Amino acid sequence: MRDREASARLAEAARDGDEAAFETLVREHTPAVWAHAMRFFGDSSAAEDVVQEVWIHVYRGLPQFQGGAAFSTWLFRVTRNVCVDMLRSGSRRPVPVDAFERDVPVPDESGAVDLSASVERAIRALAPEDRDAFGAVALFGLTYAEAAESLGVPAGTVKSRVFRARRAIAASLDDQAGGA
Amino acid sequence: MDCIQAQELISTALDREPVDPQALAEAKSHCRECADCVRFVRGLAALQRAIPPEPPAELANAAAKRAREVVDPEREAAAQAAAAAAEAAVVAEAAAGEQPAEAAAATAPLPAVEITAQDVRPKIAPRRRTGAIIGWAAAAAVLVLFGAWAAVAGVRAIFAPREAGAPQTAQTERSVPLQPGTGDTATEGGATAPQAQQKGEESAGPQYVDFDGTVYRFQSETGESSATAQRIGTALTSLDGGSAATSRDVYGSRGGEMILIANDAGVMLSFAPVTRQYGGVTYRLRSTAIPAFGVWPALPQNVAQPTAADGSPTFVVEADEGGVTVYRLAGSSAREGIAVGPGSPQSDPAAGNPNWTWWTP
Ligand SMILES: [Zn+2]
Repeated sequence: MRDREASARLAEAARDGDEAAFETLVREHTPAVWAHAMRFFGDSSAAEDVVQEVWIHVYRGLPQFQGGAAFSTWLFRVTRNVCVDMLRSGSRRPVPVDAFERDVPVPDESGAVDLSASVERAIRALAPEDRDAFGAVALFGLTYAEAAESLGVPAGTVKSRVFRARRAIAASLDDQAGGA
Repeated sequence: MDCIQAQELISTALDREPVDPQALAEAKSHCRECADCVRFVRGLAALQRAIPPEPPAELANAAAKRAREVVDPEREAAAQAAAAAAEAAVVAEAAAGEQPAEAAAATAPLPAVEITAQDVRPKIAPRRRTGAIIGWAAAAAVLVLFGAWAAVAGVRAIFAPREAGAPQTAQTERSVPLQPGTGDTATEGGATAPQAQQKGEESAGPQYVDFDGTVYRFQSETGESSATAQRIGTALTSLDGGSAATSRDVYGSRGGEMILIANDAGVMLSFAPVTRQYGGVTYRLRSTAIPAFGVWPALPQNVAQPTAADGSPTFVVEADEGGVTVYRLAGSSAREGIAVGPGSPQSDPAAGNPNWTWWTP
């Protein structure tokens, strides 16, 4: 993902009709949307639907985009809402954490496969509110204040949730980290 | 400093949030010597090295293409519908026109649908291909490089000297919430000047939606979530003055009277019914469809349009209340509903509306 100002400029250009800017925006931010959806549903087919639906929402809402540094905040909100709506409508259900491993991507770096799979398992096992806060900050690059606004909680709560998430993940990775 | 305090400081610094440099130095010192914290830092380093799930190579391009395929026709259809509605309104106006031409020209703002035609036109300009499409391979390369940098720079940076006090300016910018329309300019009675809209400026009309024929005015963004609110139906609205109307879920609010609708940014917006008092009874404003902010409410389909300025033949005068003439249906009582003509004073809930309005208890 590029820096925030560059993303905001791309979004403004897309809003003003620059088709290439929209495509670039989608390519650069789809990895965060995908990762959030995978961690939410644990299923690549659901994640594809989420990515598709998120960009339809964003493209539809672009005329209202006011510029500035808000693009990532907006994208996170849309992504989170699309996931929650799919869950509520019953169109998609999260895959249990155990069954999730088969859908974890396979990075090509040797040794990274086990580590990445362990990380994803640990993240999926987090409490949903901790996972949301961690995703907002670590995937979408939101500040605590921005994440707080999106999640409707105080910034201090975001800080605690992110820390709780990191502690849980770090604890589960400690063994692997020793050998890596 | 205890383990939790030290670890939380490390975590906060990793997120590039401002921390006290002295406290961070203490935390680092603690985490180098404490066995528990050494394990925490080792786990964090592993987390930084891990690669998040990566989407299929062509997914992003396909998603961008699909978004345009879905939304572009919506925009075109909305623009065409608005143009057609404007034409129909002009024809209807000509057919109904019993007012002297000069009086109408002097007093009557443009009909609501004509305003719609101005405002519903898509703001997204015709697309232009710049040819500057960056290949997926290049984007992937950037991501891999970023990932490698993050793994090296992340945890290690925190333990490197001199990085603790780095300024946080880029990270502390306030986000700009996405507002519906052009801001809450529809204050008393939605009394913003229709003339501004005639000039094709940004929509300055009331921020109204209709739900089941009742008119609601935008109040504010709320922190409510669609996950906890009760869905009570759908409303067709663009939630702004410039894009295509889409069908959106409507939720009941805890207060009962208000409704909630989520905008495209996922923010829940609250709307309150537009009401007036008459004879000690609260009447609600009713209308035909209001597909966009800036569209003025008009008489519902089941109430005939008067052909004369005095309300006839549809309405007869019921009363004069504070300078506002209240009408009722000829041959009926005010309990069935009341009407107010165009041009009501600034203090009236129908102020600024160029149309007759219909209110029911
Ligand atoms: Zn310790």
